[in-house]
Amino acid sequence: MKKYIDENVFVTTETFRKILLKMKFTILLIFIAVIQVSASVYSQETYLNLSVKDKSLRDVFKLIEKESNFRFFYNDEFTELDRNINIDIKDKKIDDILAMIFTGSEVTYRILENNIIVITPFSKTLPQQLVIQGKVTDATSGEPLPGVNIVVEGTSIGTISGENGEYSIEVPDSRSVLVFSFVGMISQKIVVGNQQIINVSLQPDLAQLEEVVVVGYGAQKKKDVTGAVAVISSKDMEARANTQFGNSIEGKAAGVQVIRPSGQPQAGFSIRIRGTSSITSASDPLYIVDGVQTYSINEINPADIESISVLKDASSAAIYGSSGANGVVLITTKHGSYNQKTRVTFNSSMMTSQAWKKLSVLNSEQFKDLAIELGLPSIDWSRYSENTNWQDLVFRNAFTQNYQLAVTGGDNKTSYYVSGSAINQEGIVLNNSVKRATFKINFDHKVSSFFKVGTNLSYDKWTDIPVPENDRNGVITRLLTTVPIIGVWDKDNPAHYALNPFIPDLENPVSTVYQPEQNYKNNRFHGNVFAELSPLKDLKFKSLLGFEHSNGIFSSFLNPIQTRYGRTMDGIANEGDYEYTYWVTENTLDFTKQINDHNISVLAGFIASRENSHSVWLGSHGFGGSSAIKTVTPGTVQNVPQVSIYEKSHAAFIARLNYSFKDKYLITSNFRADGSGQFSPENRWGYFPSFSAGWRISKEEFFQNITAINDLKLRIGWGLVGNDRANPYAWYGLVSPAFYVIGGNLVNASYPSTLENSALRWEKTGQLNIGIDAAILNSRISFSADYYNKKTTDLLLYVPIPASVGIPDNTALQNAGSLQNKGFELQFSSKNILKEHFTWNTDFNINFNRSKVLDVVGTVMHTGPINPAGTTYNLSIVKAGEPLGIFYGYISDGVDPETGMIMYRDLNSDGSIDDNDKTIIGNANPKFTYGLTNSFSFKNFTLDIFLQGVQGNDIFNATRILTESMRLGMNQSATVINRWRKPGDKTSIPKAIKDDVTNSNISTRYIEDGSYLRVKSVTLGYKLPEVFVTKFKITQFMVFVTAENLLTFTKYSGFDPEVSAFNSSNMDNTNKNTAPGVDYGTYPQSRDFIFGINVTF
Amino acid sequence: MILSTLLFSCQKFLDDVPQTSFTSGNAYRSANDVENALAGCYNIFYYDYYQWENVMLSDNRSDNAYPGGGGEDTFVDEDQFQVPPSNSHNFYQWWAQLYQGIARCNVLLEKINDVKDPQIDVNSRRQQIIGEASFLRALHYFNLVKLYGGVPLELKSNTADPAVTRKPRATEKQVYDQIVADLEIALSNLPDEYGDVTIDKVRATKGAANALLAKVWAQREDRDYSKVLQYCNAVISSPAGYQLLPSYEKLFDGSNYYNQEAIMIIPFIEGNWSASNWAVQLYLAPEDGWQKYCVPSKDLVNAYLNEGDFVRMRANIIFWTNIPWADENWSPCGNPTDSVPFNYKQKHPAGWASGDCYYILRLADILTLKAEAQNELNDLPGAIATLNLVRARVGLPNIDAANKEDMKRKILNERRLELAFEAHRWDDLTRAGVATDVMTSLNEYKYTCENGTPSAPIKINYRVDKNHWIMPIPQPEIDANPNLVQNPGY
Repeated sequence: MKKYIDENVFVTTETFRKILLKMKFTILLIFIAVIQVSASVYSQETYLNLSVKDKSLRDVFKLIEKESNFRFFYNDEFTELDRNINIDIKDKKIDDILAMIFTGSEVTYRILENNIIVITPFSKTLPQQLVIQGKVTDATSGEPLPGVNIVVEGTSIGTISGENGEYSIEVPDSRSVLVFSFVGMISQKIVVGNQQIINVSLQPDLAQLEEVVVVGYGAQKKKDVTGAVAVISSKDMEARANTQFGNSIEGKAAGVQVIRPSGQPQAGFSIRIRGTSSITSASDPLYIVDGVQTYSINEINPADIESISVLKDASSAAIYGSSGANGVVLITTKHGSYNQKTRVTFNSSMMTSQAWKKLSVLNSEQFKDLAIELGLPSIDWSRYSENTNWQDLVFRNAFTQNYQLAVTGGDNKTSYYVSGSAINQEGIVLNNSVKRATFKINFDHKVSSFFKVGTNLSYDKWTDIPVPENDRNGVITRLLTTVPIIGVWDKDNPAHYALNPFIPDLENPVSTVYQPEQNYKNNRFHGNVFAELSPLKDLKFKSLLGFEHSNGIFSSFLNPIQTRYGRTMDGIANEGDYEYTYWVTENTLDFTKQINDHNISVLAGFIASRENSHSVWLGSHGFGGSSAIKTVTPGTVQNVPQVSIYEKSHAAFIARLNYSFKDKYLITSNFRADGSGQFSPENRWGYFPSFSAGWRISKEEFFQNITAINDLKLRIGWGLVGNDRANPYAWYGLVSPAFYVIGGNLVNASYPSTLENSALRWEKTGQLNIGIDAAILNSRISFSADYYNKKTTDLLLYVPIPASVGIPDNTALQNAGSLQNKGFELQFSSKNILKEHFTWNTDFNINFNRSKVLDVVGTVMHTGPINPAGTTYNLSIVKAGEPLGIFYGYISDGVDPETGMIMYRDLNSDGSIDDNDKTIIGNANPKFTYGLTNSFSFKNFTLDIFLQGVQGNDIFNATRILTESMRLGMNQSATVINRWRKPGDKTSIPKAIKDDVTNSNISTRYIEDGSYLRVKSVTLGYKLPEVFVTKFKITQFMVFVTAENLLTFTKYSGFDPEVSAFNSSNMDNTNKNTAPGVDYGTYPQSRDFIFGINVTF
Repeated sequence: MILSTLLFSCQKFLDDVPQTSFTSGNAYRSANDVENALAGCYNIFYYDYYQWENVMLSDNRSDNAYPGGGGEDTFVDEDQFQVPPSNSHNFYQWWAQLYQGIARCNVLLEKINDVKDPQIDVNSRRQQIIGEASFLRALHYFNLVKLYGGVPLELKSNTADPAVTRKPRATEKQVYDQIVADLEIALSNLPDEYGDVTIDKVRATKGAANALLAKVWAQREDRDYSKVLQYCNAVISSPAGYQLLPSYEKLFDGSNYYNQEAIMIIPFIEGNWSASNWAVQLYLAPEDGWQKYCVPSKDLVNAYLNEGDFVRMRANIIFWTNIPWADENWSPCGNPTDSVPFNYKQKHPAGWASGDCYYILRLADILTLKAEAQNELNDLPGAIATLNLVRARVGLPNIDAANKEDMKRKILNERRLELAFEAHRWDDLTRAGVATDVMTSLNEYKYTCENGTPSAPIKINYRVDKNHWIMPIPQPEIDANPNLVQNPGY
């Protein structure tokens, strides 16, 4: 960078010089753009030591340049700069140093956002020109604003406000327009007219258009973004003390739905961006952490996250071609910055969790009454005299501890961020727990001015004890169905868990929690190393090697004594071991150039990756009554070890062009050619283009007089993205190994298990996005609205094929069918009150999504299997013309007062109730989902209230099939007290009939309104006063209290309206995608109270 | 240039090859590969249909047994002839598994023609393999046609193309003709013996093909009893030397399955998790607390008692007390002193890992079938003589019969007692044309428990008509193949 510029930079009218100057300015601007990311913080966080005697200012500047990243611009002819000074300071910010140097001087200075310091003389009066003087102030505080850049529009005439905010500038004539600009403030334009004194107060730029947004393979200023990208910053996340990544993102971005399949702390989250866009292929978004994809988002420590970008539309995600179809979530972790004083942050929190709701079930007396009415076998009731409340026994006050320590800092060549955390979280069900320890290091180093290397590395260790759920025999269903008349242990044989005397294979829930003993352990490394080379200032080459390596062990042991099944099998041990590795290499070339008003940047790259999974599953039973050794080894009957290995390879070429003209017209185009080993050589390449354009209307001439609107941008984009996430080796006809006994011995066998399909190719999602961003009333209010229409074609569908083809599962993977999601989303942000001691901000987002199955090859798919009574029934149906996620069954017209039986509607009026009377009985898709955050700050207090809700969705409460069937000797919901007993009874609960299943058919009887509004989180924080804090050499000390799930408003009768039985990780994609909104003994969300501290040194 | 090199190496880089499965491209190259694929055809015998569902479908559906199992609707529906076509799990499973068996044979029969390995032609092994696969395909189609009537004839199983896979139903006769054609190929390709009893009884042989042909010609609508007699005689006079085992009891004691009476068995090894019989635990071992399935009916128990047939009754049924559940037919109030019977055909549950085997074909079945053929061909004395061979083994007196009809009833009863819980009863009832009569006139009762005493008996209503002799085509199959027409009455 050139150091000397002509003094006349800001005053001359000479044409030649002007041109020269413009070019220099251009260079400057590009430089600003490139290093924007960390610039503004640099001057605030850099501390310098300076000790000189009798040196000229010029020499002092050189010294500072040597010691730091600051660079000085000045006219070499300034005689002022020859002044010698003495200075001796330690640990001062650049502001303080400069103020010291220039006190009473003839020149002033300004620190630009890019660490460039421009030295200019105070105004000289040139007689032929108008002189304007004035003062610039901060509109919020009323304080003078030094360093404001003031230029005459359309010229290179300019100056900078002085320390007291005053300025003086010569303008050519009265038509001149002065532009006042300052980082973080909204620029103002004022026509000079006949004024001689122009005082200006600048408003803070609340829209943060200069904010940098991480996008695919790079970063962009928010104002330049043309796709639909939602950004969640660490600031947004801090308001919610959380232990899981999913919490950070929940309800914060329109169109991003976080589905919690369960309240188990290890259950994780499932995220849907703008609806579900696949039927049998995975529908979770692609997660990219520091440039490297991962599937294990649960292991990330949220406190390490700097920002999350969600690429929602195809034009943003197309650069990720493969698997971008479900959207992309880019997670950037915290980094240090250069010349930053070492900072240590310590966070700690304690949490207690409880079940927020308990359900009423029959007590012993009521159960006995029902048992007799059912005609259950007689038992000696005196031996079954307990009155156990299983919910009180199994739900507990769970306790969680969370600690995190982070250190960040850097010198002029190196920056780092290191953190370690540990969490020990208990679930609200006995024995259920998660332990997680994470370690993270982000490091980068400038080898030279054009060469930089770095690494982002994380390690985590995870241990959990799960409990079974979402099943007839899960712990939650057993809480409700276990008879109250027994205790935990068998009275006759205290080594045995007590059993239901009517159904002796039904274990009690305490037994279910502890048996089998289960344990899951995982170690995971994830990260990258990279090198960046900038041989020319416009050109950057980046090479990155990313990797993930994880090892997991699952083990379980069913005691041979305590449970009935354990006794039958004489103990069962299982062990599953797996190793997962992934590596990716990315090589990108980035070229950026500004020519006059044209801004061009081009990216090209090559990417190759491979994932490899290796798992072993072992099992045995027959332990001779001993539980001394709980591993597979001593079992007398050994299962055949199952070994599964798979590999998935990808290669891609990417290209991107960004072009903008005068910051008004923005165009982005992406292209990705993606090759996948999932497909046969003829069909493995998919081509994914995208185009998007933006028009910043507020930059137009005609808009300049509309002051109420500070920023207005229209965006339109279209793109194509792909999905290849089917089972491994998707196109092959697989032939599986098996055994048979011939000659008295096992011999090898093989059988075809899938059909070869060499025509298999990429599933494609085309998406149109039209959006508008606006900031009004001095950016006090800003909003984004987007309409999208996405259509997925060539679905990678496990097409139901006739079973007569003879392929297991009766499906064949084909590109068939299509699916549509369209919707509207709105993100709204308002700074309601901005006073010095009191602020109030509101953020609101809402999403309306409508899905529609366009085609499933002329067939229907029945999905969502449950087995409440020994037979499997499907709750959901996939049918052309209908949304994805609808329930299918009979319409119940209530209980016939004469017979006590449920009256099912005879839709075809043929006099009998059969399959032809089944119809669509519910829709699990919400009409809309929304999130609302209100943040208040008053002096040292902050209060954040986060509300989240869904509206207009149905839940299929399959738990009630078990708890209201009144057909077997198991406990029932208290609602059955109102059952039909005699002709004439008018009630919604039918008659109790032993073994009857007709009243329990899949019907509208179990459909409930799943709408809810939840006070998800309330956080009250208190920052200790500075006086107190500085006394202990602490930069900041904060305490906070958070309540999670404080209040829930819902009509849903089950434990919790956030249910999705088929979304747990062990379910297959088809049921995940097509059967949402099912409650089948789902572990409920807890209500948590968190107390925490946050200290920075 | 650089780009094309890059592209080429990319292509190679992207060749992901399965490591824990074979592929259709590499699984059928050598003679050994083909032997593995053939063992895979047999392996379908380890699936639910052949492990136990066929017994449930025959003995539970007929007058031999109650469903048991705690009133699971699948088996109650099956027992009481009210199977809904939409029941997508259990009922679809039989259809699917039999067709999987067929697919394995289809693929092998197609791939074997391309195998160049000379080893495969040593001792005409290629022909034998074709014979074994053809036999198995015929067996699966035979079971399908008995369960559902005419079914789609799938003889390739190599594509998902709807134009090919959405086959309409063939007629019953077309299916039987295919079965006969396959069995005739089997007959001409298969040996009488392989030289080792543990192989002879496990692989298809000429004897097995003859036995199945006899059963097929007896069962089909356009039956031909002279052919039945011909094939039965071929079995009886086979060089393999099939003989009734002198002790009926030993047939089912768990240690004599490779015996002279066995024509074909499903072999299991106790304690071997990939080749053991888990179904025995579903019939026996009440101490595990799960109510057992296929509970012998009062009618069957009476049938043994009426005949004084204690040998076979003891071999097939066991009574126990102190049962940890209440049985709605035998022990409605769960009184510990109540005797409850169990299907005792296999006797060693071994914690879901039994080594007890199943007879697919055994000589007593063929002998009684021969008697049936003789009777139908109006050779009453011959029929009586043949049937008495079976009775003599269990120490029952010779029978006499007044006429053909009387003899027919006696043969039917003899087969019931001899072959109980071996998945023959339902086919015998339909073949004799008496299924509706037998089931509607059956006096079976269940009870509930009222304040510790059994309720008044509740007659079990078997809602059967001729339409319900066969099952509905599973609804999911009709969804996937709209060309299928549902059976009448469903």
